[in-house]
Amino acid sequence: MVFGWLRNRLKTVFEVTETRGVARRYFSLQVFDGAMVGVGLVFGLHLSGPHPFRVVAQTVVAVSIAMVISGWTGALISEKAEQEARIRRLELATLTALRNTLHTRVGSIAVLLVALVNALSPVVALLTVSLPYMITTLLGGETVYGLISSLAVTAALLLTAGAVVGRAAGINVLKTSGQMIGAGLAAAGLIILFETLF
Amino acid sequence: MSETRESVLITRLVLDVLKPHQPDIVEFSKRLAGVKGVRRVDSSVLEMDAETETVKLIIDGNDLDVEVIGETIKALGGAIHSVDATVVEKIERKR
Repeated sequence: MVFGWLRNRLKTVFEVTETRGVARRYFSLQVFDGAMVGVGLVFGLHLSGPHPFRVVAQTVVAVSIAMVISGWTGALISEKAEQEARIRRLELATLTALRNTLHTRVGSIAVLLVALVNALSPVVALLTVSLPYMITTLLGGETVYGLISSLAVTAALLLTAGAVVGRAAGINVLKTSGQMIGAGLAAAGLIILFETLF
Repeated sequence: MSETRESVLITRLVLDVLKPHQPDIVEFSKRLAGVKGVRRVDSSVLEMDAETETVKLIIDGNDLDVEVIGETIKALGGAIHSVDATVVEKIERKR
C-alpha cells in the first residue's frame, strides 16, 4: 500500500516535471562514469601498490565523497534552472502565476530526486567495482585476483546497466549492453596500454 | 406547524479550462473528483497547443462549491477561462 502510494507520487512527479528521461539519462551516464572511475582507481591502486587496506578504503571513500558532491551540486544547479525555465514557459503559455501549484511543488521534489540519482548512481557503481579489490586487500590475498574480480564485476555491472537503460528506453537491450561493455573494455585496454608504456 | 428551509445548490458546472499538458486529464479529473460535493467529472480536450490544452469540464455533484473547485483547478496549474453553463437546484427542506 505504501509502495503503491509512493509509486503513484513518483509517477506524478516525473510526468508533471518531464524528468523521467532526465533521471534515466543521468543514471546510465553516472553508473558508467562511476564504473570507469572505479576501474581506473583499482588499476591505479594495483599498479602503485601493494597498499594496506586502510589506504585503499580511504582512497575509495575520498573519491566517493568527491563524486557525491560533484553529482549532487551539478544536477541540483542545472535541474533547478531547468525547472524554473519550465515554470516560466508554462506561466507564459497559460498567462497564470503557477506559484504554490502542483507544478512548483513537484518541481522542487523532481530537482532533489534527479540530484539524488546523479549523486548516488556513480558512488554505488564505484563501490560495487572497488569492493572485490577492497575485500582482497582486507583478507591479505593476491591483489591481482582482486583486480580481476573487480574487472569481472565491472563487466557485469555495465551489462546490467545497459540492459536496464535499454529496457526502460524501449530499445535493443543487447545493443545498449554491448555498447557499455565495449566502452568499458576500451577504457580498460587504454589504461593497461598507458601503464605499460610509462 | 412545520417550517420549510430553502437552499439553492449548484449541481452542474460546465467550465472551459486552459491547463498545461501535465497533469493529464485523467489525473486532473481524478483530483477534481476528490473535491467535496463532486460526484462526477466529464472531461474532454477541445484544443491542443505546444504547452497547453483547452479542456471542457462538466462537473456534477450534489452541492458544488465553485470557489473550492476553482482553487483546485488553479492548484493543478489550470485557469478557468469561462463558466459556460450551470445547473442550480432549489431544495426545500422541512425543519
